[in-house]
Amino acid sequence: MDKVEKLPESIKVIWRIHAIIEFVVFLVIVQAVSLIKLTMPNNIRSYFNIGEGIVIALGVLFLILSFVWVIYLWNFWTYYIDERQVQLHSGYFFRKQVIIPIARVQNVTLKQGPILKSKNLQKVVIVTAAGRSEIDGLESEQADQLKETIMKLAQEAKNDI
Amino acid sequence: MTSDPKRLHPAAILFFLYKDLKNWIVPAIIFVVAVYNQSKLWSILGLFALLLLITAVDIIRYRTFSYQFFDDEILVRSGIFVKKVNHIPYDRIQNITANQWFFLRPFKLEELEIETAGHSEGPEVSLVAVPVKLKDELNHYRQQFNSEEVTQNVSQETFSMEKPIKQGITEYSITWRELLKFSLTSPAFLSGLLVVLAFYGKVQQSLSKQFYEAAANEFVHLGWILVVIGLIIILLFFYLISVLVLIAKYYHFHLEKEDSQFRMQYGFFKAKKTSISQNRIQAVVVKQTLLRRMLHIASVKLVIISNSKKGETEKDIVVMPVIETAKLNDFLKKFFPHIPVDELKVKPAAAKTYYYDLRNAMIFSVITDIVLGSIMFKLSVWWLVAIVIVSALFWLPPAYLNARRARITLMNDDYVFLQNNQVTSKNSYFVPKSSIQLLERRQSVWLSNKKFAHILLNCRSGIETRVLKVKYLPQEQIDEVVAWYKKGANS
Repeated sequence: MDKVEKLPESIKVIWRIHAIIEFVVFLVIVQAVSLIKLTMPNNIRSYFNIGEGIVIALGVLFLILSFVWVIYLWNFWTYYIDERQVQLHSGYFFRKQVIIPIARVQNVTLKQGPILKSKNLQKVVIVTAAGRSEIDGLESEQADQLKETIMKLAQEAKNDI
Repeated sequence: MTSDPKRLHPAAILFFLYKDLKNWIVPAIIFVVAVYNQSKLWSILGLFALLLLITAVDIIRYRTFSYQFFDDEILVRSGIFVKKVNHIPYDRIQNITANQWFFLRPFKLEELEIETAGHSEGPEVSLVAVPVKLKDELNHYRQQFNSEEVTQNVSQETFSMEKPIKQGITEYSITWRELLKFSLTSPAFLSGLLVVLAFYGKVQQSLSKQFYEAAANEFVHLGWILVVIGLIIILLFFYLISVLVLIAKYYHFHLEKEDSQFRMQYGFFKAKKTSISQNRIQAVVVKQTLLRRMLHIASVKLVIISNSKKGETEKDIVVMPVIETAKLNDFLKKFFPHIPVDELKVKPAAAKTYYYDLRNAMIFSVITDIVLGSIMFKLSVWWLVAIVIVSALFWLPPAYLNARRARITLMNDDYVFLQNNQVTSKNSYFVPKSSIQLLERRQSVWLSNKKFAHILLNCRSGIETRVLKVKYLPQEQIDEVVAWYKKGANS
């Protein structure tokens, strides 16, 4: 595990699925709101339709942008794990680097919903005494291995709070 | 060695009563106001019944409350209908505070508050009225437990290994001069000012009604002057009160350190004694407001893990409310010998840091100008000029101080020194590597070209995260800290 790695490529599919789900939820909300127009007289209704069209168009634009965003995110989201620490890097224009020493880790949570399960991925949440960091998805064996490493090291280091 | 279950002193009933009466006073008044007109008898009877009920409940509460010391834990039993048994292991105690009101002094009683790192609000256990001796007894149990622990567990870490080495007692007391400077420069009275301003609105209303209607123009002028003088007197009064309150609060502030325990003792009417174990300390902070910086005084505080939910600044434990800056280094050396104060070498801030901070402030200032200016422009050009000047005064000085105070320097293998600015007050943190839970480095592409970056250290404070943040520092300084943090992350 001793090199800088990208998230598994299949995470892109999951991010896209999330974007689509959000878009569908958005559409449902817009449709629900647009029920108001049934109470309106005809001449105002046409204006309302234009407004609705603009909102949906913006939503579609946002969906397309988030598909592009997924590519950007994946390309510049890397992590590095060794015996001592977990490092997370993200972003190109605004770069963020997070270092979490394994000795400071309080607990690790592995999460897997149906979408992640279909791609055999697990979400890893690393909790320290001051906040939490997330890795959106790792291949299942890798996530388990990470959990084992952290458990082993955390037992060695006395983390007294 | 186990003690018998013990009760509180009967005086505790009075404290329970006081607390309950405080909670019931508003409903009681509402009840009386509502019923009084219909039936005087019933309102008085009702009040009486309530009082009787509260007293009865408090007596039962007193009778069901007991505490007991075991070899490894304190056991507190309480509850009238729902029985509650609270176990507090000695090694989980964060700090113990003893509060003693002046009227309890002759009876040798005090209140003990025991705090753990749990997520409950307020202290885990509060023993309302117990003999003063009890604190020593409790400390005795704790020490015994600790020494057993140390002998059993040889592989303890450096922080707690210092325990068996007897260092003797170090102590420091606040001087009158410092206390006066501290109380006189406290902005606490400004909160009083807000009350006055709210009040002023009403006073002015009634005054202007009286004066405008009844008196001639000259009299109005006189009235206006009277109001101003009245305001100043009220302000002075608030100021004086806040000064007196602060003096009473921190009266005879005395700090001592024995082995690895810090003990603070202060207060005039309510004597407070707090003890904190050294290994609970997450970081040491030196705070200085602008006014106090001019008077060369500062406050020393500790960031600790506790279960208080208070605001960020109140949460820190005051270890020394005021100290002259000249004495600061000696003070730190005396009480925190593992902080290598002498090795601290601070470099002046880089010119680019000033550039970035001031540039950002200019942007914010111009935005303020545009937003407010577009509204005010119609009134008069002078308003626009005033807005430009005020917004510049509002944004630029803090930005200048941000840049001037932005600093992060390694002290040695274990400690890092971080300094930042909060509007106008200067915060200097001495942070051990072991209490940095997470380190974050931020940099945009454009900053990367100029070799500048931001750094954020996440520590635990209270029950939340404290983020210590310094922006726009030369990249090499930050990378040095990152490398330092990575190197011995598990020490």
